[in-house]
Order: sequence, then C-alpha cells, then structure tokens
Amino acid sequence: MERWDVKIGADGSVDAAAVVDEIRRRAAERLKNGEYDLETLVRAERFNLSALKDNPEFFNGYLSGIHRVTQVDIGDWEIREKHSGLVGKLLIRLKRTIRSLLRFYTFRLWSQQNRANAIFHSSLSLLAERESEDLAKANARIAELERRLAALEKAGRA
Amino acid sequence: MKIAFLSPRLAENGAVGGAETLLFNLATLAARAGFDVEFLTTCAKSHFTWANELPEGEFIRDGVRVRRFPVDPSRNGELFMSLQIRVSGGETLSAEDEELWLRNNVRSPAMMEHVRATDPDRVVVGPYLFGLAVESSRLFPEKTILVPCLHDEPFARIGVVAEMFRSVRGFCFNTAEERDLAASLYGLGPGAGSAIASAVVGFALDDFTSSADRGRELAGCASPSPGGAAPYILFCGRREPLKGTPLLLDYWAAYRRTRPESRMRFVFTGSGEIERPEGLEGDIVDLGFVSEQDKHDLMAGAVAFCHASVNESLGIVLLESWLARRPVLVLASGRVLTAQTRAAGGGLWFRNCSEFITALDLIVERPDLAAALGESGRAWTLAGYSRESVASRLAALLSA
Repeated sequence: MERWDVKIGADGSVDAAAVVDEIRRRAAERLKNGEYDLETLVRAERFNLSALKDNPEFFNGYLSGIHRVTQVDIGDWEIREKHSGLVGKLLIRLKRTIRSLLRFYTFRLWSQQNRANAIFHSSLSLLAERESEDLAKANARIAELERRLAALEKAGRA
Repeated sequence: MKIAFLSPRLAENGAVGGAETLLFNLATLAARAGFDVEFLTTCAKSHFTWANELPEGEFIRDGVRVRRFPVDPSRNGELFMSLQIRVSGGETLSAEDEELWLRNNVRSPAMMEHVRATDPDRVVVGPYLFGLAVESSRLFPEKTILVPCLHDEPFARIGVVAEMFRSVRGFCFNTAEERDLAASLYGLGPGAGSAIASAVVGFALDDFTSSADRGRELAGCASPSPGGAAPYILFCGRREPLKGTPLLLDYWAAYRRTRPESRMRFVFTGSGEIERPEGLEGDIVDLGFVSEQDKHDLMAGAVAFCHASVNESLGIVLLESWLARRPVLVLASGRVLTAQTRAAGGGLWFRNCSEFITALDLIVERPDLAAALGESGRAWTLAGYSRESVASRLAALLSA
C-alpha cells in the first residue's frame, strides 16, 4: 500500500487544502493506472452534474467511460432458485424457457436501444472534441494576437 | 429594546427545518442578552399543508415568550404549489404571478397586525422565501433584519425577493459565503450595500460530551452486534436529492465495490426514503429520528460525517460532528460547506467519486489524520460558535 505524504503539525494542525491536493493527485494517478473501475465510477456520477459542468478534466474522463454503461446488457445471466432438488431444477428450466420466449419480443427492442445509445454517445463525443479543437484554436489565436500586440507596443516605445 | 422574531414554525423535537431552529436559537440568545423578545410563529405543523393544526395563544419556551398566529386561511395551497413548480423549473414569473405567489405563500395577517400593534424596535424574520419575510420587509422595512438562509436557487431570483433584499434594514447571515451570494445576486455591494446593519452571526452550539463506543453500539457496528464490528460513515438530516443523499449513496456503493474487502457501512438518521444500492442493502443502517445525545454519540463513533448538499447557508451538522471530534467529507461544489470545512481545517472535500474513494481511503488508513482534522474542527467551532461569541455578534447587529 502506498504511503500518504500528508503531515500533521507539531501543534496537531493539518493543512486540509494541501491534503485535498494530494487526494486529487492520487485519485488522478489511480484513474490513469486503471486502479478504479471506470464503469463503477461513471454509474456513481449520475447525480454529480455540477462537476460535469465545472470541471473539463472530469467531463473528459466521464465521457470516455460512459460508453461502457450506455449498452444495455442483453446477454444471459445465471438463474438461481431458492428451491433445491427436482422442484428447483424444474423451476430453473421453466424460467429459462420463459426467458427464451421473451427474448423473441425484447431482442429487437434492446438492440435498437443500444444502437440509439451508441449514436448519442458518438455525437456527444464528436461535439466535445470539436469544442476542444475550437477552444484550442481560439486560445492559439489569442496568444498570437497578444504576441503581435506586445511587439507593436515595443516598437512604438522605441 | 423590543425584538420580534418571526418564524414560519416553532422548532419542536427537531422536526422542523434548520432555518426555524436557527431563528429560535437566536431568539433565546437575544432574550438571555437582556432584549425584550417575543417569538411569533404560526399554528402550522406540516410544511406541506400549512394547515392551522395548533391552537393560537401564548406560552413560554426556554425563557422566550412565544405567540402562535393562524396562517392566512384564504391561502390557496394548490395555486401556490403550481407557481413554485414553475419557478423551480427556471421560469420567470410575471409581476402578477409573483404577487399571486406571495399572496398564497405562508403569510399571517394576524401576526403582522400584532407586530404593528406592539411596535417592536426590530423585526427579525426568515427564511427569505417565505411570505412572512417579504411582508415584513414591505410593512416594516426600517425595522426588518432578514435572516435569509439564502441558497443559489431559482426562488432567489423572484422579483419580490430581490426587492425585499434591497429594502430591509439589515441582514443576519450564517456565513461569509451566504453574504457574498446575496451581494452578487442583488447588487448589494460589499458589506451588503445600503443596509444599515449586516453581520455574519451563525448558530450557537453548546459543547457536549459524546461516546464513540455507544455510537457504534447504536449503529449496530460494535463487535458484539449481530453484524459484527464494522466502520461506518454517517449522514444526519433529510434524505432527499437536494441534500445530496442519492449521490452519497452512489459514491459509498462505488467505494464498497472498489474496496470489496471493506465492511464500511452507511448509517443514516433523520427522515426520507433511501434507495438502497443492489447487493449492499444490509450494510445501510437507517435509524430514523434519534435523540440529540444519540446523534452526538453516532457522530463520535463514525469514521467521518458525509454531506453532499450544494444548497446550504450553514452546515450545523458539520459543527456538531466537529464537537464530537470527527472529520467531515463534503462535496466540493457545495460552496458553503466546503468553505466552512476549509476554514475549520476539519475535513476534506471531493469533486467526484474517485476523489471520494481516495479521501475515504486516507481517512481509514490514517486515523491520526482523521483525529487531527476532527480536533481542528472542534477548536474552530468552539471559538466561533459558542453561545458567547454568537450572542455578542447578534447583540451588536440588533443594536446597530
């Protein structure tokens, strides 16, 4: 386990802001190293929309993880039955049969839903990418104009 | 000096909102400081119906004379609610609709008549979105000290509310962040603009003793309990989206899934539904309403107190957790709670789930740090929120 580089003063005081900085650094590192399951995190962020709005770094991470949770799981799952013995086996078989029959009706529906989710996700990613590119271009242009202005000012003074 | 405190309800058994508890807290402090205090409230019990369920009349509570008055019987609750929904959806009401919102808000003409007849020197009223406050500001602007309990929410942008903020004598704020929010929303300028009196007063808390062992027993997390010993995080209060409890539940569930070896439970007190995350249902402990002593013991036994509300004007539960010597974990986008935690050095703040998990890891792995944060918060609370310091700030405000 990594050691935490946080200090407690001789008088017992703690610089909470410095500790939070260390938490942020550590959390970003763990995310980068894949120590946290992105799907679990993305699912947990459904109520934290203010962070999506205010924190571009968080938004990018959220966006890259969201595709894993937009797909409806249409695969089989293990059916467990509290009854044991023959009754249990019969009930499991019955439930499997019902599931197969239902799949006939639901498969098309969920496939369409998955396709729609994928389209929405791609559109959102494209929009975000385009916005980042536009922002980068605007920043570069501002920097260039500032450089030219500074040069003109210098020439004027001379 | 005669002071009338106006409150929508009277705090009883912790079953009312924080603003009403705060108003009565301030009234008792003013009475003990020698002011001639009357606490005027309504006959309502339910904050949904505002029906006049309690008898009118006068009695003494904690050394303060209390008088109950009926809520305006002609109030149209349904119309009011429909306007509230429109405002909370971001709609701007017309001037006529704003007046309808005010007329059908919680008002008491009998209470206002009593204020007029007794002619107090100051009228202390809150919170800001109640008809009592708006009417007081219209009828007695030169006397009204508003205890806004202001949040950055759509209701704060209603025209008649802005007008009230610009007309009252003064403000009794809970935190500097609340004062700054009022200044930015209503263009009040530094120090609350043209108001004659403005101060950050806060809420007075008495120090208490608490038992971590008893807290763990109450939570069912002590070693002899059926589930065995387990650490726990705590939330006390109303469980609802506005208080951030669904987000906390999701984050705690993510923590448990990320740390499968952990037995960290989540203990709740207070009211409201809890949506239990699948597979972790048994590790949520809902104790409902508990006594103050039980709450303090639960705080003392917790790993940390967690709060993810973004709409607060003061986190009284944070102060209590610090008095119980435990740190807090708050959502960074909750400006007031984060500023409070930062100033107190009493805890940590997180922006997202990965930071929450990392912060909780740290609190668990470094109990010395958790204890130091708790002690720092305690020292800060005792210095700024003792009866003496709050009473002194309040007396100066009322006398200005």
